[in-house]
Amino acid sequence: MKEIKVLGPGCANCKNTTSLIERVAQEKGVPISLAKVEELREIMSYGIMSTPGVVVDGKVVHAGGVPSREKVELWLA
Amino acid sequence: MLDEARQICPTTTRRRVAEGAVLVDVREQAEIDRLAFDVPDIIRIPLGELEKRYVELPRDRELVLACQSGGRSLKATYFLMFQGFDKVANMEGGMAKWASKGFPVKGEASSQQPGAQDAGGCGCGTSPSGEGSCCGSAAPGEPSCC
Repeated sequence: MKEIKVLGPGCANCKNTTSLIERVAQEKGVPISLAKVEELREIMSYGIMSTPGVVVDGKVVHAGGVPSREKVELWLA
Repeated sequence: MLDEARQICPTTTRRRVAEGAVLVDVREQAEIDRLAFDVPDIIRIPLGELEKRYVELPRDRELVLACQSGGRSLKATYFLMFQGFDKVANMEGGMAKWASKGFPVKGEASSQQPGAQDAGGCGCGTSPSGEGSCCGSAAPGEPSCC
């Protein structure tokens, strides 16, 4: 199971990113563990200056803006 | 997980700067034009440019990050901690609190600021000089912080 974290203060883009990941995972039938990280110190512990950030299995794969669907599909491949 | 950022008030910041710390203002140019910190050796890097420009900051001096109210500079403080800076602190209350204490500023709005007590004060009364007063508990080694 992929461990995914969406880093951000709860902004609209963060929520849209979370929804997109959930939707793509469901469509592809990929089991994921999705967590939202909203606390500044924890977000900054990944060195993310632009949110939302996305961490997959401990690695930062995205920072700033809602990721494209194609990008999300690659993470879940 | 990063440690909690060290936070110091404007009074302590002013003292640290006098002792050799560098104030780093992460506000935008328009904000600085309106009201700027008037301290020596200040470094100005807007938060949006920090990721590219943090290498300009000295690692051998204490850095105190500041913005308008203390939020953006807290993020900047954590970013520098992530990048391995160990002598960094955030100035709580930012320019709003600094100016409300009558500390040195310059710029278009400076004529309205000295002595103003409307933003970010201690919340426990005012000090005539704005310096050296303490309200509430001070952290160890921070004798004049509110």
